[in-house]
Amino acid sequence: MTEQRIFVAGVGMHPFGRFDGATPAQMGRLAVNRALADAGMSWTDIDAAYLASMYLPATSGARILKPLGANGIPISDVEAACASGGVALKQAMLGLASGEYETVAVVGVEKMPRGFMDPAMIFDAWQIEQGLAVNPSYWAMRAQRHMHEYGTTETQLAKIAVKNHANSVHNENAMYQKAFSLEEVLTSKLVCDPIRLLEICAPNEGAAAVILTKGRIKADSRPAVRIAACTQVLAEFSADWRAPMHSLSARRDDAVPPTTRAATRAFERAGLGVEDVDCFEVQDTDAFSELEAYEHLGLCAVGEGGRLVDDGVTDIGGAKPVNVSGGLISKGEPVGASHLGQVVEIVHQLRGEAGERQIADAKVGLAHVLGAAGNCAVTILQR
Amino acid sequence: MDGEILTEIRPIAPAFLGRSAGGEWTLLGRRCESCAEIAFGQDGDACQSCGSSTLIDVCLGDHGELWSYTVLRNPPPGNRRTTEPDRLPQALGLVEIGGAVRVMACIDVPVERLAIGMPLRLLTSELFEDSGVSVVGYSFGERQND
Repeated sequence: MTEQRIFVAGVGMHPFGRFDGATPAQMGRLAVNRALADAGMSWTDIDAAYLASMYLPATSGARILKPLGANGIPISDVEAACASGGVALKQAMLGLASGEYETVAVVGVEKMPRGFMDPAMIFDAWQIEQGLAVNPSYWAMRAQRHMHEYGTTETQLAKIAVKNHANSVHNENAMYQKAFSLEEVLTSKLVCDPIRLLEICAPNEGAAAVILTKGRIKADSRPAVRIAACTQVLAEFSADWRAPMHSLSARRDDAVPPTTRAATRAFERAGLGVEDVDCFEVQDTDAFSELEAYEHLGLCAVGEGGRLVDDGVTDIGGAKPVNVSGGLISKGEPVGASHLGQVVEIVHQLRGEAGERQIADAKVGLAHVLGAAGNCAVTILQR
Repeated sequence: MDGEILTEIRPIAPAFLGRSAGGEWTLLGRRCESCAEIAFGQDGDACQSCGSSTLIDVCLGDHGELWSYTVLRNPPPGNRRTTEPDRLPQALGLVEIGGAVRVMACIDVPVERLAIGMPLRLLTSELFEDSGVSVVGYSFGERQND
């Protein structure tokens, strides 16, 4: 399998948060320059670049990256809502695997307005007119149903937010870097019942860059980290509540969710199983989304996500640590950069460079994103 | 015209909301002749479940049960021309119709009465006026068990 031979040469980030006055170009180039420095490379070593973003205008890839050196390499803009970074990474993998390129840069950049995401990005006018286009409401309805069917509690959801916020304290790239108590989370404002303000990610700004190359990296004493698999799927009919959002089948509750499909394929490609993964970075758009990811990735059976939380399995000291970076709940979600930010975190974990949030002897990490239209990507990294 | 009573009425989404043969408001859908899957709306070209293009227009009726819900605590975002002030908190739900399809709708039920499984009925109301036409939207309200 050609994917076996693709290595991460370097990673870099512009922190996620709010940076008034900073342009997308400045943030993107900072991340790229940090990734190039991390790789010991220069822009002239790059054969092609992919720019992931949802909110930036046409040709943003060229606008952001060309000033690094107008050497005529192909620069492609990639958009797949919250999964944009994963889909860009997948395209980069295909470019390398095809033999067309030896070394590529994958860059995610975003600068989103404050507040709810612009509903016109993902909803029809008639849905917006009727007040149906409220992004968090869909996750909230899934959460409410899960609580009804399996007895999942608000406290269990809140514990996920407590965990992620606590993890972010040691992450200089996170937006909040602030621990909150269970009581603070449970008394924070309701946004869409049962989801509360401290349990939901903020759309924000930031950038992340990953340099991929074929073959082993020379003159690098650090553990070599390779992409063991990168898969992308779109939800099948009624396999996910995002597609189509306005009309869900009541007869297809057995449909395989996109996260399960993407992860199953990724594990097959990597020749690994969920039991081999030492750290997970998953789409915690809100606390319930993380709980659902546990179940759909196979960390536990459907309905047992709450128990997993109570048992501390996904805590930083647990058997299956999830979102030790702080997750999107604490980092915020600059959608184009989110998956690449997850990859940066896992690369640091696998190299043993994660400082106070280091997971001992981490060898395999999994990054997962899921968003509008059921766009889903899973990347497995291994050292 | 000033003072003229609006007589022309248009549903906000004619592929989703219309009149039954008896003239009652109904949600609209399509049933697949091949796999019997039912979808909300009459705007697609193929069955999303099996891919067949043999689709029959059907009325989904005006009854359903609440499958899940949330409560909006902030005004819905986006470009909305509604002339009614936002009622907050406002429930939003997925309404299961005939055990076949779940449809997203505002749920005009007091928040403290919301319960999964509760019987609901279709409501319509004018959202706004557009060039002399009354544009009507849908929601669901509580239904007494019958």
